[in-house]
Amino acid sequence: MLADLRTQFNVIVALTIRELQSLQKSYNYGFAWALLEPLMFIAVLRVARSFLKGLTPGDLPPTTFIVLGIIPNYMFLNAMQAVMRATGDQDKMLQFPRVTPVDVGIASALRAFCIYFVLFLVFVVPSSIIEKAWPPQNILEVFFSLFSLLTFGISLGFVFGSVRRVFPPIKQFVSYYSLANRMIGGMMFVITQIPSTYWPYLTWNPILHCSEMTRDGWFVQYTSPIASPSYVLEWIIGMLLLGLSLERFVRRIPYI
Amino acid sequence: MTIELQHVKKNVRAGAVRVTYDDLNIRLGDGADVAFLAHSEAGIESVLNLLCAADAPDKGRIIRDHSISWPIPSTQYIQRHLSLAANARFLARLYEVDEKDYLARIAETGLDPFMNSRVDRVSGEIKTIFAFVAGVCLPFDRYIITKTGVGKKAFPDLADRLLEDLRARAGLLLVTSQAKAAAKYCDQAYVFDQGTATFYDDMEAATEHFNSIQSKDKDKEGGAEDEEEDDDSDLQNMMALDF
Repeated sequence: MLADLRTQFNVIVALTIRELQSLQKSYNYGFAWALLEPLMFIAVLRVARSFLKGLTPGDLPPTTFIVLGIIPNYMFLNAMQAVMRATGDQDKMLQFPRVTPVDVGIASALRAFCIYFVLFLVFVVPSSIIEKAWPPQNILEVFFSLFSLLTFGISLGFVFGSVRRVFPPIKQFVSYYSLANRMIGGMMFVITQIPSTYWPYLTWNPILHCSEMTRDGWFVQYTSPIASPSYVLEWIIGMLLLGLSLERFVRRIPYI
Repeated sequence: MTIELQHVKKNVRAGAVRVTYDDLNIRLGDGADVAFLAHSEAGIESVLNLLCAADAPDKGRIIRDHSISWPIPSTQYIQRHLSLAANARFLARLYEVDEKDYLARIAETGLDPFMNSRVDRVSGEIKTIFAFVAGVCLPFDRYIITKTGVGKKAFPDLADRLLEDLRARAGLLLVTSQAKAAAKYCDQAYVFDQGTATFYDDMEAATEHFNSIQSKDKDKEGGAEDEEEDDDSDLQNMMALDF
């Protein structure tokens, strides 16, 4: 059992390193992506900032507020889509008999995590220093939120990827879900900006809880009235069980 | 220590290949050198996917209780923008072998001058030799080989030497359309034709069966008039079996 776990760990490490090395191929300028992509992001944010200023809560620094909402949310969506692709399609890494779709999925999600975690650090540290929101008041809460988004993304990816094996049109539903999540996942707002009568329609969403935890953990001046780590954990455990069970089930079904 | 396909059903729909394997029973015993004799339209790639657990059967059971390689020399996993050494390191990490030792073993086959070159800057032949050597240098109980004449120009004896060494320590599964090569390296064979796999433990009988299939195919194509031309086209068919 322990030996099997160690083997699976090593397989995931090997695949993750390979995934990260493949970034060099995606970005012909090698690891320049690490500078170019954030720089473009900053440019967009600088332009957007003037428009967004009125939308962010008055006492919270606008750029840090936006970065804390956007990057973790994108990390979640990318991890979910990467796992969905790895589970739903016949990856070429599966030609290696010791590689399973679960390994490929987790490796793809870790790649997404590495990219967005670097982006997160590159943006949020300077912007919070400039906007005097440094240091974060509870870094553990921030990391818990990022870790929750990653694992929830992996879990949902397994669910959607497994369903995609037998029902490919689910891809369309997933793109609607991603769009909806950008709107109601707390990317651009905190719950205190919404009238409390609407809270029951929004707070079921674990992604909103994660966004709230990130901002609650970062800003001294913001305390989320709804963020619940245990609620997020319940969702993660439920979805992970469902996703892994479905993946195990559809593994017996031939690829279309 | 075997790999067994028991009553397997598999519909193969890959491009022009349309075959249904029904009640497929294959047993690869410990250490036996087995050939899969198949022409390019037999859908053998799908059977290999089943053996490697890369795909599931429509029906039936697959039992694996020894380690098996991927189809060697497949180059699908190779990253073109990385060096040969970096690609080898990936395999070493994946199969938990000592990186230094593994790289040294690959280098001493004659690939040393190319190890630090990017894959897209070496010739196709070197890339194939690397894929072959990298697979063969890893420890498996059974190796799936889909090409025996690798790197004949650059390193004339290399493939033969490595295959002989491999046969001494593990089982070989040779997937080929060349009955001669099968007879040279194997002592058992499965002949694949029209959704069936016929087992032979006599290579002469297997060769005879396979040749009869080949000649039937030629007759169907109506190309039996010029023998010399047929030899060439046969060679083309054999080359088509590169995974």
